[in-house]
Formats: sequence, structure tokens, C-alpha cells
Amino acid sequence: MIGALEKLLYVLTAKGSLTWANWKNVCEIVSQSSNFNGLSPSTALSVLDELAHVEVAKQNGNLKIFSSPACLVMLPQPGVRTAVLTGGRAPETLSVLEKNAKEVSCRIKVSEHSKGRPETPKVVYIEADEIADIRELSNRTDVNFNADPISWIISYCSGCIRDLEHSVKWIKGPEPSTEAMEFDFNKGYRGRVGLTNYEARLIQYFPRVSQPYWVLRHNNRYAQMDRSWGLYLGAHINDIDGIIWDRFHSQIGIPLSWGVPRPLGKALCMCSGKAPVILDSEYINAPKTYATKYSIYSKIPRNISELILYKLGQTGITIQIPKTA
Amino acid sequence: MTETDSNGYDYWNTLLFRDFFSKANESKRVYLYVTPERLSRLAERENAIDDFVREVYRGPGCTQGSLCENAYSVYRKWSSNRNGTPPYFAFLCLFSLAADHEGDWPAHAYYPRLWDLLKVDKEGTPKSFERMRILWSDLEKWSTVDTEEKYGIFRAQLAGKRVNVGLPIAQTILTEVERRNLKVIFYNADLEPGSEISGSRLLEAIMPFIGGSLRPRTVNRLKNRDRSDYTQELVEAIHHELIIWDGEKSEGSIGVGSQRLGLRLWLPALDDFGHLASRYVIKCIESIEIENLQLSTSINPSNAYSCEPSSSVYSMELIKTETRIPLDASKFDWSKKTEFKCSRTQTLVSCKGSPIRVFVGALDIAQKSGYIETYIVPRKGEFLVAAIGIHSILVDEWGSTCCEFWKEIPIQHGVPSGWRIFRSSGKRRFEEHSSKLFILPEKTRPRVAYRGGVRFNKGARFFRFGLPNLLVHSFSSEYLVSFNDSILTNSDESDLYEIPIELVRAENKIRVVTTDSEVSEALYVVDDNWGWRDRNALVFTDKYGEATSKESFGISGGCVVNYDIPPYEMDPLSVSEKPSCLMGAIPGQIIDMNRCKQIPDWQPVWVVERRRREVVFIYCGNSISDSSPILKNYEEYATSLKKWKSTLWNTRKRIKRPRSRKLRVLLKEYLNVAKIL
Repeated sequence: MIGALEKLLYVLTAKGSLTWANWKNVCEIVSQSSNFNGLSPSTALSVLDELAHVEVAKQNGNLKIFSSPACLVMLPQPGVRTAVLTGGRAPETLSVLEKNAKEVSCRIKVSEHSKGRPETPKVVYIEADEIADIRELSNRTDVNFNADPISWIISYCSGCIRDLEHSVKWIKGPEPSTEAMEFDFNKGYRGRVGLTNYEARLIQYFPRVSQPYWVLRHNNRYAQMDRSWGLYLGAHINDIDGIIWDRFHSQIGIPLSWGVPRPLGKALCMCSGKAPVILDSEYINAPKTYATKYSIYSKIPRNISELILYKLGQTGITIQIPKTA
Repeated sequence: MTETDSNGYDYWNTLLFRDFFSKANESKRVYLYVTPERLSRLAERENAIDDFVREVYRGPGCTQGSLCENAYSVYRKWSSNRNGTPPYFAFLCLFSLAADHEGDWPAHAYYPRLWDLLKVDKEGTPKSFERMRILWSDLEKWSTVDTEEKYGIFRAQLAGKRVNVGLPIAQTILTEVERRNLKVIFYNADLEPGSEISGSRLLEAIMPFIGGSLRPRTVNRLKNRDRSDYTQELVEAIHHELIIWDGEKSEGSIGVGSQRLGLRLWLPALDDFGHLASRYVIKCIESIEIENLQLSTSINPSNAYSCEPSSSVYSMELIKTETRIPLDASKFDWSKKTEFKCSRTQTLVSCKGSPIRVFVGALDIAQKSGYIETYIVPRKGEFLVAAIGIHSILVDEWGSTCCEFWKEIPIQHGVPSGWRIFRSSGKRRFEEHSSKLFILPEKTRPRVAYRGGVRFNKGARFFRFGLPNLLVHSFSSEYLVSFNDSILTNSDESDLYEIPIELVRAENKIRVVTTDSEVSEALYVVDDNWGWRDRNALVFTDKYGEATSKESFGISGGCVVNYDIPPYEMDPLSVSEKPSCLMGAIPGQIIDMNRCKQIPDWQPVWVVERRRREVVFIYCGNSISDSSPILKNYEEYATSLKKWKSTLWNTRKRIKRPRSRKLRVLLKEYLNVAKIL
């Protein structure tokens, strides 16, 4: 049976792009046809984005979701060379790859879905003894290919909260009287403004006339910024460590309510090619302070883990998480 | 599209084809409206019509029969491999040209026009003309399925009841200019995009705005309203344009004040004791994000209203943004126009005033409780009617005499003052209705609409896992609907039918048959074979996830451009959780990971895991072909040479066989070296 997100991916690939309204509509239809209740459009988008199947951008202030080009992405694992198929696909994709893989000594392995996430699309791995074989497969099938692991590229080239702090436009001024909610780092959700006493405060404003927006306030100045980046910058200023790092199993856990900035979420996912597993904080003995649930990303090499934690201004709480991958 | 001869049939076929179907028309409706002026413009000479007619009548070189026989023969030869553009296109253009051929004939006469155009002294139906339906349907298939709407969407629709002649007539009933101008007419007439309203109500709304926008003969036909077949066809064509209208004032207009949305009344709660609530909801269209609308009325511009989208085509109720309190619709005068305007985009959201309002159950069509406004009394099922003044008396008269169950509900509050609410169910008659009751359905040809589903693009093509339901609009309650020749039934009294998945093919035929008319439509289902590879990235995002240009560092899914990074160094320990030791290609290169956690400065080739019953050699090198053992300079590692050998040789019987053949060969090389050391 085809999973809900697989169908969603088919639709997006066929159409090229979808507005947010269309996306939500298609989400509902595919979840009904897949007997999968509770497919949140936001979660669906986040999963497909982190798995490098889609790209998201704003056009004229409205969110639009685009199908990404089909691409074989190398995983940053030593040994047998492994790539994962990302981007757009059709039902025939797997058979096209399998047919051509035999001719170039590649092996196709399919994981029906990411562990514990039956709604996620099939994960298609391409294994080969040499990287040249995978390159040859990409040439034969007209699929893009990048020999450098994308997780390394993105984690190296992505933004950093330290740079963000200096590059963002800070404005001095008091707090406006606009309706707002403040993010409580310790509880992991929004609440009334003014209940916390953090040095840096992440606040979402709801103006009457325009779209809601996020602001980080620090030392009587404030800057409008993306929620995720603002959250980690605020956590860094407040010296709050929320991310857990299992060095032993090469896993990283992100508080579910925190999320992770888009490029880095993709860098984490593209270490294994699979969507993160969601686990209760009790199950993994994680501090319940920040979140009741964590997204666990697996097979994160040490150098990439260190780089991502640095970019997010986190040191990583050392905890051994039960192996998920 | 293929090259052609400079003259002759092929020349005209290609010339016309390129004019009607092009990349510029992607996902847009294409109507084959051929005129003498168009032919002259394309051929760049006056009176090209004579040449066109002569060449098409003669046919391509390989044909010898009558006009329609030639057309069918050309289609048959092409349809076996379907390469290139349909070569029968010029024939269809000729038939379309004939539909609008000027002369002294009744409006409904088609064949005399065709024979006159051909300059042939004959009468009646041309031989094999009925086979031309296949060609019209095939052109629809070509545009929808073969080319996936890339060059335009053609629909083989009928105008009127005549099955063969109705096809070319449908192409010419309105000109391209008229179809474009209808958008402006609908906009100015405050009509709701996609609304199902009666023909008379539609005409009443647009008549003040049609002068100068439609051709004089079109205006005259509408004004005379002689109820002839042709006028009926014209009204149906205009209604069809309203149904597919997206609310834009003109094609491609983006910006201030260029779009309109429909506003509807919603009665979320009504009981027999007269307790009623009334709200406003918006009928959504795809291109507008309604949650971004900031609405206000001209009467009270300081009050801002907004709404959230819901899972159906109707939004959640309008609320006052500041207080989040739902807007009470009973505070408005329902007999007058209610209009909101978005302060950001100037989009207008309105409903026309009306002294009579109809409501149907909101569960099926809007996934809401209560009742939602519609424009026509349904043929089946429960409905409510709200009316005021003399209209309430007329409605009551009709309902009492023509409806099986009819009851007035005394309302305490929830409607504007003076309005009465009636509830009805069971059977009802429409034939004896008063002409003032525009809420009653009129006798038109049945029609099929699609509800829900996931469309492939804008045409009648759906994904197999997202099939629509079929909604039949029919004046007569006695009809049969079939899907691929199997009769469809439904368990409730509605006109909504589910498509049985087991009957679905790539091309499907839907038919609705009443006692005096029949319509058929094609529905296409897509399973596979859409483009998914060798595609350019549509958008790139930067290092913070924001949209960026391709010239700088950019990410698009798994593709990354314009980056400069140091080479990636693999972490050999990431392949194993419990590495016992790391081994290199040179004998003696071995590190015990239980004692030293540091990665050595030589390139590891194997990570060795000692398990209870087996020893696993996990490959962690960069390239298998470059990882063969190196029998050079191993004196440097003399102190650990013995350990290197014993790790391989002493465990050889417990080594887990690698799955890859190349790795098995590589490991054998290492064992051979260990043996001879």
C-alpha cells in the first residue's frame, strides 16, 4: 500500500508546485485514501522537506511548496557507498532505478517507510562498491547526483546563530501593545508574555492587519527573525541546552516543540536518509524540562554532529538514547 | 510539432494547430473558434478561407473518400502510434468554421451552412459525420492525457441536444473575446465564482453589463430569450463560464481589486423552537489564502474581520479579528448586497442581496453542522427557505402545494427582522412554479460536476488515489448515471455518486441519461508516467532557508549549488557501535578501540566487531578497488604485526561472510596476506 506522504509526493511531482491551501487539501485527501488519520499538513511538509523531497519558499507573502529535482544524495557513511533517492518521483521511479542499477553493479534497497512513521515515503537506497557506479546510474537515469554528502555540505555552509546575531537588524524600542505570545524555553510551548524572566525572549506578535511574526528581544532591542533561528539564538543567549547527543549511537535528539532550522533539519536527515523517530522524553531519560517528546535523528557522524551543534549554539546534553535506526 | 509542406492540407493543419495549441496556453481552455479573419491572419493573405476549405475538402494526399471518411481515415492511421500532432485537426476546424458561417438560415441550422461553405450542392448529414465524435473526443484525450495540458485543455463538450452537430457548435457559441469579457461582466455583476444559479437569475444579473462586451447578435439572443435551443445553449455556455471562473476580473490580473470571492450564509444551528444562529462563510478558491484576508465593510471600516480555512471548500465562520467573536449575520440586511473588502489585497468578498434564500444540509458539502446557503432548491433531500415580504408569501404558496412536507418554523432570533423560515423535505414539483421564484431549478440538460478528488492539472484528469465524486445536476429526478457502462447507485437520496474503484480505467466514460436528453463526459485517471527526472530546480533556498537566486549558494532538495567546502572525512567508527579494533591496509595497522578511542592517522579499511558467535569485518574504506592490502613498509608497524595477523587468521572460521562479492574478495586478500606473514 502506498503511504500518504508517498502519494503527496506523487502529486507534488506531477504538479511542480502547490500553494499552502492546495497542500492542505491534498493532504486531507491522501490521508483518507491511505486510511491514515491525523496527517498534519505542517508535519507532512516538515518531513518531506527534511528528506529533501521538496523545497519551500514564500511568493508574494504566500507560502508555496515546490517539487525538488530527483537526486541521488550520498550518505556520509564510510564503507560501502550508499546514496539515497531524494526529490520528485513517480510510481515508475523504483522500476527505472532497479532496471538500470543491474547494469552498473548497483544494488537498490527499499525501506517501506522510516521506522515508526508509516506515513513517510519509501526510502530508496542505492548501494555500490564504488562511487563511480552510482554516478553512472545517475547518468543513465537522468537523475541528478552529488558526490559530496549533502549533510556535510549543508552543515558546513548553513547559517550560524553567532553570525545571525551580528547580521540581523536590531532595533531599539519598547515592547508594542500588539497581541502576543511568548515562547517558554523551559516548557517548550508558548504562553502569556511576561511570565518568564529570560535575558533573551522569543515572542510571536499577532498584528490586526498583517501576518503574525516572531521577534527576539534582548537588552531592550529586538529583531524580527525566523522562529527556528530565533529560538536557538535565544536559547544560546540564555545558556539553555535543549539538544541531546548520544555519541555512542551517533544520534541527536531535538525537542519536538523546538524543531530545527530548515537547512539543518535536512542535514540531520540526510545522514541516514530517514525521517526522525519521535520518542517520549521518559523513554529516553531526557530532561522533561524542555519537551515531552524528542525527534531522534540517527547515524549522525561525529564531525557533523559537532558542526551542527556549533551552528545552533548548543553543546548537547550527553544521554544514551535507545538505538532507533 | 513537425515541419510541413508549404501548401495543402498539412500546411493548414500545422498552421491552425500551432495557433490554438501552444506553450502559452498551458492549462488554459482552448476553444476551436475558427473565423475567416483568423484564417487570413494566419495565412497572411486576404480571403484565405477559400484556400482553406478547398484544401481540407480535398484532404491530405493519401485520402480518397468523402470529407468525413477522409478525416476518419487520417485519424485511424495516426491513432496507432500517436506521434506528433493530430493530423485530423484541420477537419475539426472546418466543422467549427461551418457552425458560424453567415447566411440566411435559421439559427439552429448546421448542415446547410456546412454544404454552403464547401460549395457543394447537397443536403442533410454528410456521410460518416457521426464518426467525427470520435475525433473530437480524441482531441480532448490528446490535450489532456498525451500532452498533459502543456499546450492547452480542449474539452469535447456539446451545445444543445444534438449529439453530432452540438460539438462544433459548442466551440463557436461564444468568441474568445466574449469569454474573456465575461470575467469582467461576472465581476461587475457581483456574481460568485463557480456558483450554480438558475439561468434566469444569471441573465438578470449580467444583462446590465453585457452591452459593448458581447457581440450584438449574442446580446440580441439573450435579450429576446426566445427559449429556442440556441438561446438555451448560449445561456448554458455562459453558465459554464461562470462555473469555471476563478473570480479574477481579467485573465492573469494580479493586484489590487482584481479578484472576487463568494460569501454565503451558514446556519449552524436551528431547532424547532426557533432558536437559530446565522453566520457568514467564504466560498474558497485555490489561488487565494483566505486566512490572509483582512476584511472590513464600507459601513464600518474600522472593524476588521477574518476567517480560517476549513477542510471543505467553505471557510470557517467570519469572526471579528480583535475579539475572535463570530460575526452575527442577522445584523445585516439579507435583501441587500453584503460586501467585505480586504484591506491588504482589495479582494472583494460579497453576496448579492436577495429576498429569498435557500439552504441545504451543510454536512455533505461543507463538513459543517446545520445548513449552508445554496442558490437553487435541490431536487432531493431536506432544505430550508428564508424569505421576506411578498416573496415569503409566494414561497409559502409554492411549498404548500408542491412539496410533500412543508412547514414554517417560528423564529425567535437569528434572522433579520421580517424574514420567515420554512423547512421542507420529501418529494417536490417544479413544473408549476411561478416565474418569480428564481430559486427553483430550470429545465436544462443534465450536467456532471466533480466534487473533491486530486486533479492532475486543471482538466478532467485525476490521480487514481484521489478520485472525485460525481455530482449530477439534472432537472428531472428520473435519470440514470453510468460509469463505463455500469449504472451507479447511491444509498442516500442525494445526487452525489461515488466512483467504484474496480471500474476505473485510464479513460472512463460518464453518461447521464434522462427521458429526453443524454450527456456524456470523459474522465481520465493518471497512474504513472509523469515527468520526475531531468528537471530543473524551481526554487533555491539559502543558508538560512530563505528563497535565493541561483547565483549564490543555494539548496533545492538534494541539489546544492555554488558551494566551497573542505573534503569530507568519513568517521570510520560510525559504522559500528561496538568496534573492537580498526585495521588498515598495511600489515600491522591495527588499533584496539577498547584501549584507545582515537582515530589513527592512517586510513582504516576494516572495523572489526567481536560478537559472541562471530567476528564481523565491516568495511570502512573509501574505495574497495583502492583498499587491497599493501605489502610495503610494514616494518613501521612491526610491534602490532602479530596482532594484525591473529585478528584475521585466528578468527577466520568465525568471520561473518560479507554480503557484497567484492568485499568477500577483498577480505580473502587480507586473509591470504595474514596466512603468509
